[in-house]
Amino acid sequence: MIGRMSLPFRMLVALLYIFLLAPILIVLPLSFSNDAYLTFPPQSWGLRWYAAMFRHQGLMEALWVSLGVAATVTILGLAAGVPAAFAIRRYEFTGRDFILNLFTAPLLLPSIVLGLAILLVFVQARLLGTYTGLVIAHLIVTTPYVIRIMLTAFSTLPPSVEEAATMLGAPPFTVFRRVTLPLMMPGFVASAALSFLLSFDEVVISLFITGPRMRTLPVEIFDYVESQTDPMTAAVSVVLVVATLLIIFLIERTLGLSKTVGKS
Amino acid sequence: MSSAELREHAPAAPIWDAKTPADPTFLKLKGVTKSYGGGFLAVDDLDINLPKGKLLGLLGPSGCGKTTTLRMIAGLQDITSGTISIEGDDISQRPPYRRDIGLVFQNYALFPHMTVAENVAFGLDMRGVSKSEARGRVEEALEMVRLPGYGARKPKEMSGGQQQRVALARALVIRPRILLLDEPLSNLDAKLRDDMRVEIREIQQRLEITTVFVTHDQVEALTMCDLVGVMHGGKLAQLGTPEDIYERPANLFVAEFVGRANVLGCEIEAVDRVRIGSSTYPCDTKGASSGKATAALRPHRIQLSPSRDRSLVSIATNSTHGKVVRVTYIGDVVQYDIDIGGSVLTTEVHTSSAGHSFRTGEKLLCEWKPEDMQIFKGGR
Amino acid sequence: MTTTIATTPSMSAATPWIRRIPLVVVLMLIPMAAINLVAFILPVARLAMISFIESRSGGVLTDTFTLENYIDFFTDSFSVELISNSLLLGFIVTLATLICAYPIALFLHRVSPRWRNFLFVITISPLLVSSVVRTYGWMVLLGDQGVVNGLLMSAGIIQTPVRLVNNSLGVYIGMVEVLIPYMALSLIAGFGRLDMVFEEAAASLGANSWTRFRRVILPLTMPGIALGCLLCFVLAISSFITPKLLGGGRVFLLATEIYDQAVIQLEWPSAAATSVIVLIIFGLALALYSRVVKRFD
Repeated sequence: MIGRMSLPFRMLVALLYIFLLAPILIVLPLSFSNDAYLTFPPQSWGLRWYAAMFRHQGLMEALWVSLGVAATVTILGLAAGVPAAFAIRRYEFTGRDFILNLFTAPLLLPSIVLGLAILLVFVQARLLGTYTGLVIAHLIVTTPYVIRIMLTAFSTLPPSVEEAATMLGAPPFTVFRRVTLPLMMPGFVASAALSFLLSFDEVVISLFITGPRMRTLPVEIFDYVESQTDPMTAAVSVVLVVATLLIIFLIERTLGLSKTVGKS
Repeated sequence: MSSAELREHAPAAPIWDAKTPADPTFLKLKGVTKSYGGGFLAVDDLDINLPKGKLLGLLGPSGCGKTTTLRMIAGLQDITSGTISIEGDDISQRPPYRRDIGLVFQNYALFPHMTVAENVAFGLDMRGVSKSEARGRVEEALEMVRLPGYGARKPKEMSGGQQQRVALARALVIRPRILLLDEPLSNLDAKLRDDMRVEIREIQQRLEITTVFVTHDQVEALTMCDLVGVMHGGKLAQLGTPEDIYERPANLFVAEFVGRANVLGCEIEAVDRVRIGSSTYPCDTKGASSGKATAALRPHRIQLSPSRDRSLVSIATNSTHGKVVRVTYIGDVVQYDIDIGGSVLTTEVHTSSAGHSFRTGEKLLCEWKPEDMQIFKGGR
Repeated sequence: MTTTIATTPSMSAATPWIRRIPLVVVLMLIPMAAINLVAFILPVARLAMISFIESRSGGVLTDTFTLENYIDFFTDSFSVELISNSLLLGFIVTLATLICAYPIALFLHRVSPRWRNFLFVITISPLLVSSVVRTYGWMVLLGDQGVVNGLLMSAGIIQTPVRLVNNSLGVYIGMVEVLIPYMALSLIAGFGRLDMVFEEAAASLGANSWTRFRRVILPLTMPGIALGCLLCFVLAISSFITPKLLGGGRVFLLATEIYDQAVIQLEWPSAAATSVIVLIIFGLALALYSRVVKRFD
């Protein structure tokens, strides 16, 4: 039969999915280990490492830094990216394509190179290990996605509705506020969620520009994993994965993730 | 919609206070031109005078400038030169949101995030109409388009025809000075299109609202409009009543674009006759007495009869012998393609009226009245 | 009756009263331009500049122009090893990722819409989980006391643990898993042209399933394959987290070298020069990609 999928093919795909999800799923049982060292399967079970996680001062401080940076980056990224995308989509001006390519170019640069490059500028500007520095560096990672998603959102705007509002007597700003903006909502939510996750998970660039006083959660985890392998990282990972899945689930429920992310 | 129903739904007082201006012209386009870079003229020196309460249809093939004209009246595109005025009030430079013009879009352009009632109320909100008054007027407008009680629905829950009516109600509730319709029926299926044609016309006549209607469908233009402007290459090829356009086309383009026509090259022999091939036919050459010309003849204006009936032909009728080369059954009519020696005439005979049916190869006689043959100067 | 199918001529989106105000455009672009300038243009320019500056120990920069950083790089046999390690990793990981992601993408393309949405989210959701977390998962799975070794030993297949991490093998396995979602996304995007009717047409002409795959499915999905391979290659040779953690400091790549030079040795000019080398490899991969794409268009 054409297009029918044979059993061996289905089993192969199932195995590949297990491979894909294994490292994420394995941390769940491990996080409930009560062992002092990393053993699998754990000899004893309990919430010891969750408790340890909440008592770990460095980790908790880094968590708050990461949440703060991600929230700031999300807000500023939308504030900068949405008008830029709107201008690029709606107005014709010379150099428009160049501007768009320039704004989305950071996507193409490997983060190890971008991290070093930002380090070299920030060291002069005294932005290393500062909140401001982290926010600026993360913005360059998130804004290309904001612009891409918003461009898609603007282009899926139903045709003529803005003109219809104009004909009914709405001045340009009112058209934007009453018609354009509400119809952009899915794009905003997708941009905001992705910005937050990208910033919250960002690790390579952060490794270059965080200092001993100001560390983000991924950097803290990275250092922790590099120096010791005990099940506490599993507990942290479970919390992060659950939080991420929750966000994905909420977006999928309200908007359809494949609709908002898949198109961009 | 029956007239009884119309009366029932009509508000006690007319919602339009009909001013009667001294100048019969209500909407005036004077020398309106739209040029794009590179010297391309989308609309070229257009003059239109539309009296109050009339429905003007702008008819033409795609790219003829009809939609551009509509959008210039709406203010969605700026005009390169010329003026557009309503009741002597020059609106050419006014932004679209201050023109008080109702526009129904081809795709309806209903706001998908608003309910039907919110859609219709939008224009009232923009005009600062109080919530309570707006509610009454919205319901009134929805009744007018036969959608009472549909206010709480979302546009996507409605059929194409219903969305069309909501768009009409939304455009009319603001009591616009003129109404513009941009191919409003092109997205509807054939049956619904016929109904909406009648309905739009009835509402337009009842409200006596001056309306411009853009269409590429000649049936819509001929059946709905008081005046038809046929556009071609940015220019007005002809502006007249539907009957003028059909019976007395001003030029060959109109003759061919509106309805079907046999187009034959001919030579003018005198002011009252032309020669086609080797035969001479009496007709009105509109004063020309010599030179090459083109004759246009509507297929259904040609009478067919078996060739032996020649004796019945009156002197005042043009006639020629021919041979049937193709018979096409279309349902209400049968189309006969007839070779009249060198050129082929397409003719139509109503299936009910024709006592006779002809076969391929049969010889017959074609006759038509001289005034049914339109002569246009110049060859093809 | 003559009827003409007329379509409304498409109007340029800009409405007239808006087009006259370029100032508004400038104002809307300024915030984004500022971010781009501070965190992209200036850093990249400075990176290029510093790669030509004489290096002093301890992160001290001089003003002396020199080609020494590049000369050092190319005369050092260790650098040659870095490049060959990175390229080898790039090629092997890309190929392995393609082999793993292709069945997933094909499955997603054919599965009923009801399942597709759910599985699509499952496929790309690892992208939204921190790579540190996923790499940690692999350390747990592949470590000497890890799940895989544990299973193999209890099954009696092996007696002593097999080295699966802190070497290239571990890095390869981890990288493939990290990159599968990217590859699958690219492939799915490229599968748009893959319609069942082509396969049915091929089958009606007598092609068996293998021939259909080779002659119909594969060529049609080639653009997606090319895009996915470019993306994965580029991500593989610039990846840092997974090689650093799963390599256990024993796998030396360009990316890990940039980090070590910049953060540990504070040899910024050398790190900058290495970065420029990585960017050049990027450019070459991109050029190769555009040639491949041209061939298949």
